Amino acid sequence: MKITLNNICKKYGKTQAADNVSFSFESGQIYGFIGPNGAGKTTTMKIMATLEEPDSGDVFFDDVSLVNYPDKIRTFLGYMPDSLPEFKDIQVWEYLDFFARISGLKGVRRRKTLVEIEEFTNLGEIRTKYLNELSKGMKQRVSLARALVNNPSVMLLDEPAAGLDPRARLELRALLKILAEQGKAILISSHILSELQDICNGAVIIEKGRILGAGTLDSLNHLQETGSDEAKESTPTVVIKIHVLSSGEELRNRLLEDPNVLSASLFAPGEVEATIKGTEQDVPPVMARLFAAGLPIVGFGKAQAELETIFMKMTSGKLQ
Amino acid sequence: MTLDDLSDRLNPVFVKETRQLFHNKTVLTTLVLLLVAELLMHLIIALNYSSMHESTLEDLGMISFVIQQVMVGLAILIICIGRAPMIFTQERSAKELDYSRISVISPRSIVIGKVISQVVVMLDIYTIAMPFMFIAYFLRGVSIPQMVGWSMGIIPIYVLFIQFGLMLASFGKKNLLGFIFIFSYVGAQALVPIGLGFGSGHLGGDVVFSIFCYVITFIFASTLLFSLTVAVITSFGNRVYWLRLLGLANLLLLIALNGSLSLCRRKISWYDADDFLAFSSFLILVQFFITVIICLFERDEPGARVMAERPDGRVRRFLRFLLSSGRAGGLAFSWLYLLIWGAAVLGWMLLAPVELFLAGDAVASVFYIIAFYLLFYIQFALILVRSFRKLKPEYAGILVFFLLFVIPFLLASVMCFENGEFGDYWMLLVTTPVCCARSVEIGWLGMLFCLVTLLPLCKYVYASMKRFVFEEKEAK
Repeated sequence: MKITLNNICKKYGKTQAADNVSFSFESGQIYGFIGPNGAGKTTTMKIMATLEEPDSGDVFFDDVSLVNYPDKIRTFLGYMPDSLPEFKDIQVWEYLDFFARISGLKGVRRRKTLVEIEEFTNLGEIRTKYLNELSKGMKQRVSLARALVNNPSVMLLDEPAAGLDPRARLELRALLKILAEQGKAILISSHILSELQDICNGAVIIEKGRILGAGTLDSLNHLQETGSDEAKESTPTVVIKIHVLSSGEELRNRLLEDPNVLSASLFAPGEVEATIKGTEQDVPPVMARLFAAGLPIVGFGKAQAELETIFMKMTSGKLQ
Repeated sequence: MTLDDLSDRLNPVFVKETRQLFHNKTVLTTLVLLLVAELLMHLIIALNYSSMHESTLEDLGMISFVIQQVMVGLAILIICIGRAPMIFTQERSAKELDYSRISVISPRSIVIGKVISQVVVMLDIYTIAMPFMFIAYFLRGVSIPQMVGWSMGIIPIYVLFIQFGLMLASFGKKNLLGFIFIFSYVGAQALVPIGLGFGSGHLGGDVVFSIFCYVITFIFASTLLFSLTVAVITSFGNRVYWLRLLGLANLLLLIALNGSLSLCRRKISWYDADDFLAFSSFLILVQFFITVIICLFERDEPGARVMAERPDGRVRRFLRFLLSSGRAGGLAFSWLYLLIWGAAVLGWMLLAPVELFLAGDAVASVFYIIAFYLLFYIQFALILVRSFRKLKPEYAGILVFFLLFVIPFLLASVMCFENGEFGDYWMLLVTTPVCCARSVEIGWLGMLFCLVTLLPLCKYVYASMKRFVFEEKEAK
């Protein structure tokens, strides 16, 4: 399934919470949705979850329009909000049972689904506990279980790792990877960029209601370096990281002298990041010249696009 | 088939609410306290029975029954009328209601589930009190018909208060619920004698007829509260559908009942039928008032979802247009409502005997004229809203009400005080339904005003209807 947001606009009073928001992602992908506070992430997610109606624009789940057919969308959507489950006087299994019932699951199918979900989210031991007795982390699990109850094809997770301890975060990451492998399209909003870095195939960066960039991490990296999609397409580049035993100053100077190197900078002591003109095939000749110059190189490789770097370079951090 | 499988046939919200009720400590404590209080009361009666005066013993059953009802009422107030709306408000503010909507459940089912679960608990409370009611009967002073009559009278009022509380909770804050919490207890206890007293006193002392009016009022108020609550919690969709559909159903029901009374006029007293016409005209006016006011606050054109959900076939589409969100549909519906109502009143007058015709038409006509004035105000406000796009509907409504009702009324009142002859200044009141006080015939000017203000809106209503009925659906 392909999810396409098409020029979504939403205004609250004078605040433009979403301003022509457009991006797309599809089944099997985990996309990070990142932006400063008040950037419009939750608004966009709420629109996608059919909780808010856009002022204009539409979201298409394959060819099904969200504006025209929200009821159809609701049948294959899982939404984990940034708030925790708050029903009173209800046990965990009863809470999940209620959501299973309102999702149209009946009889054996409902019971089987609940057992599977409780197992998957590790809620079996606390199933008879009351919701208000649970810790924040446990409530997050319940919230995830609720989002999974209708076996959704698309999952929207708003700050799912907020308030979780390191162990729970690792478990959540593992769960999300499994869900993506099952073919679900997942959009996660989070402030913890290092968390997203490890699990996301791509990211959407939003600020002041506008999308600054969207795509795979590599394409975003190119976008922030070259400035625009057009520039990216006209001059392909490869970013590599080289580790040396020395401080790295000499290596950087050498690289800057090379006609095939567009830029070089010290990333850390003994670590230099260089942007090479061309494709991956143009990297070996540059490296060969560095080895020939006798530099104490101990390792090199294609640099992974750092989500944090991309985010910091793309956003100004201004609030609306 | 297990009990769990059987519960699949029940409303999911009802299942959830019932589970929550039996986990709630306040509910369980209240039920236990009710039981203990009932036992204690009867224990005290038993211990003091031999020392009681003969006159007290004569009424002991009634005293016991009244105290029981006060306690039962308190339990219902705490558990059903107080707690249920409070919980609903909490669910709404915690967005749980929103998350429930990301499913296949409809707002209609949510409201039904919530109301039914509270009604079932209320009946449970009555069941707990039932053995003590029998004891009251054996204590003398109260008959079984009296007890059944009171219970049957008060249960519908409790149900209405539960619905009213849930409706307030669907948009209000917790502090707003405090009002219903206190008012419902006092109100529910007071409404039964008032309602039945008014019924039997005013409607010629016919108990069956007053019960009939009581049931009709309950159906009318219950459906109105239900459709308003559904309209409030519906997002992204056809909010007014149930309000208009049930409004139309109520109108047709009342017309059918009035028609039946006219047809069997020889078997019932004519003043009963006459009063029922006035009574049902009032109910229809209340329904019309709400429908027409909401029409002002709707969107100009039906939303994309409503358009996408249009049925096939032009007749069905036209009917859906009348029942769907959108001011044009609302206006068309209001006119249709008035026309059906007018035709029914006319038909009733033709069917009724002469004495009934003379007596019955006045009140019904006045209510009908008030409805036209209401529509006239709303149409005027709509013209303003459509002419000045920045003018909010609520301000347009208030402006029109001041211009056409409050100011003329004040002017006429001042003139009246100065000259002592109100009748000379009735012309100042022609834009208000108050002019009916001078003469019902003058009141028919309201219909003329209504037609005049409809003219500038005709093109808009027709264009909207044409788009709804004839325009092809967009692809998925």
